[in-house]
Amino acid sequence: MNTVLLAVVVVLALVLLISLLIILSRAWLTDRLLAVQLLGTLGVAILLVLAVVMQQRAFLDTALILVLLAVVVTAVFTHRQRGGKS
Amino acid sequence: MIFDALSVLLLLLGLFFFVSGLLGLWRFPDTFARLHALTKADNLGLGLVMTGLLFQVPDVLWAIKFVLVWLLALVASAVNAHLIAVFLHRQQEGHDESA
Repeated sequence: MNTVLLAVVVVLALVLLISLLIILSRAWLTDRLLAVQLLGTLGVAILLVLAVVMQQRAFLDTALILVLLAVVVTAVFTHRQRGGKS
Repeated sequence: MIFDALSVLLLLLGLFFFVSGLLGLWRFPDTFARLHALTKADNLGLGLVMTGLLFQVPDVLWAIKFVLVWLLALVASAVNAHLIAVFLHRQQEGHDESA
């Protein structure tokens, strides 16, 4: 079972790599923010699988923090682009 | 044994949704379309991966925490999509007024 889980991690990491390339190739802020959201979710998925493979519960706490930070990034960027008003 | 098979099936489905979300992000023409593809794909992808892993966890506390991570991801994803959509909408409106 662990082999299958590690294969899943490898595929998720490949998707993560491609979405990083998409971030680099796009000029527009919203596209980059979308890719950052995908990165956050992918990171959470990888951490969940690794938590099961390594039997470490600390990975789950890291996953929670990663979810929260992805939202904070979007909130900060959209707020700043509006000039910080309202 | 049957739990392992179910788990592999759910993980593969989750991977499918992640990959299709990536394809949507890459190929869709409009940012709103990308928003739609991505938000749906990563909610469902993470949900399926999480459900697949639920069959492998050692005790109930782990399972509860897995579900909590997924629920938080759902809320976070909804907030994220809303913020981006409102931002984009305002940007386009502003552009129309100045034109």
